[in-house]
Amino acid sequence: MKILIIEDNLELSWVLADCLKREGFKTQIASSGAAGVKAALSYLPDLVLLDYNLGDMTGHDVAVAIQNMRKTTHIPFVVLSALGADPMLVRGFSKFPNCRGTMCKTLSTREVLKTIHKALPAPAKVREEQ
Amino acid sequence: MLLGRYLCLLALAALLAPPAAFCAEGKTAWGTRVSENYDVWAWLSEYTGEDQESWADLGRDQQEAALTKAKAGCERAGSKLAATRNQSDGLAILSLTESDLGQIGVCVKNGDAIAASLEAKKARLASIRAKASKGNYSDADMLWMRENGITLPQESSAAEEKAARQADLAKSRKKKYDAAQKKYGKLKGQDAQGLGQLYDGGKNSGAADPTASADLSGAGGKRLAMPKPEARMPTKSLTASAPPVMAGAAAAPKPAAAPKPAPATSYIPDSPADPTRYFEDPKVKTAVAKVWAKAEEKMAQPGYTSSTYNSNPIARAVYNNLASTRVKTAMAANEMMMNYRYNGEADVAAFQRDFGVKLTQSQIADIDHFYSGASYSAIPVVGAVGGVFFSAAYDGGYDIGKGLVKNGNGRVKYNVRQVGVDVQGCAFGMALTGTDIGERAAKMLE
Repeated sequence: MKILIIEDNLELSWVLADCLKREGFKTQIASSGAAGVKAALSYLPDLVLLDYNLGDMTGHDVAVAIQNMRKTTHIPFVVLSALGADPMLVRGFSKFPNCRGTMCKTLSTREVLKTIHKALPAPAKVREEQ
Repeated sequence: MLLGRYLCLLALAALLAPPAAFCAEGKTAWGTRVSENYDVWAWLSEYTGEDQESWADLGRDQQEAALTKAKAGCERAGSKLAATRNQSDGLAILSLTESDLGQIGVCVKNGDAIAASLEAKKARLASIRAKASKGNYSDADMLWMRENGITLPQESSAAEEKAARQADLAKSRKKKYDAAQKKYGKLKGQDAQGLGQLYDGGKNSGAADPTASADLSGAGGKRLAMPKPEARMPTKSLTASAPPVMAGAAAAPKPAAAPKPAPATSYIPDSPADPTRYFEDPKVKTAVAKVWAKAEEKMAQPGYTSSTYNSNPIARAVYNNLASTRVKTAMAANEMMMNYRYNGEADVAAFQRDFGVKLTQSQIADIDHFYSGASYSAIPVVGAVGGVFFSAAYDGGYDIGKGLVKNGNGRVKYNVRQVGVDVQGCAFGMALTGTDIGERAAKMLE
């Protein structure tokens, strides 16, 4: 399983990547929105862990891009942002069919990992798609 | 004059000229300011190992080459630091190598502090990542939060407030408990006599009356029945008498059931609509009431029709169109009374059998006339006055005549006396119409 972390806070990305690696995932980090969109196209992850405030663009923009690109339109994503509990953000991302949830960065790593596990497509399904 | 000017110029030149040796060789002295932003000499000292003495031994070209290299090194370190100035610490750590940090610390102004901070940050991050990699997520989270100044909602203060509230509550409860213990503690361990002493000062204390106490042996764990309300003592006297008798004691005699209230009548007692009001003899009053009650029963029977009052057009019209239910009841009563009028003692016996009251034939006739007058009074206008005469003519004249003919054969002679009863009956009948005119007329006639 491949997970793309689109997060401008590299320190957090590294820690998350370390945790995910320990859980058996392969990870790639993109520290900006544009880099994230490119990485999504090239890396074709099974799940994208998406920040909202990315500096060059918002997580919403990245989500729209991922949804609109034919190769990435099926990729689910989870929003992990400091604004993850904001009702407006939650409502906005709930309109994306591939959005598997929004999380606040203050959540513990265990809870983040739990949500990621829940959001990931079943292995059998992935194999069929591949 | 010219000589003087020449000497002055010579003296100035001598003052401004470099030391003879350096000037002669074109070397740069150690510590000379060669850059505005960087400490090039520190860089040279750190990375080339030069010092003031060794620097003096170098030739002019060597010095220039070393200075050029040092300046380039300093500028590279400076530009790398400048590139990370607007980036996060993570990016700075990512883009700055240890060598870069070292050079920054050596040659950039305040670079030592910046480099030290970044090095420390790098070390802390490495520690967090190490914990995350080992699966020690809780510690990694805690360190991460501390590193980023994240604080969870102030649970501690809330917990302190809660603890304070609980302490206050416990204190209050203890106070109440102590007060209760002080108040009721003396009851503990007391026997019946002692309790009686505490209860009412021993006024009623003493050996329990076996007839008035319940045997509770073997009743452990069983729910004891409470005495019925009538068996309980009045609460007012509790302070001066023994506690209430428990179940199992001699039960107090059940008070006699209260007599059933008299059945509701269709009229207000002692009102103009009360037929008994118009009579004084209690026996007649009772009979009148019973006749009325039986008439009501008759009226209540489904399909009842008055054959008498349907026998002629006027009576039928009155009965069907004008008479109220109460007047119809009076008519029914009159109709019943017709059966007890002409057979002497046989009717007396029949009346007694049917109504349970022994009346004289005259009294029975009075009742008959009373209800007759009431029936006639239902006729509008005419009934109010003419009812009396109708009633008098009803059978009075007939019987008076008959009485004159057959006097002494046991038949009661109807006489003018009964006109009074007819008037009363009319008054009653008008009261039954329920109109003001009727009621006023009834009062007048009374």
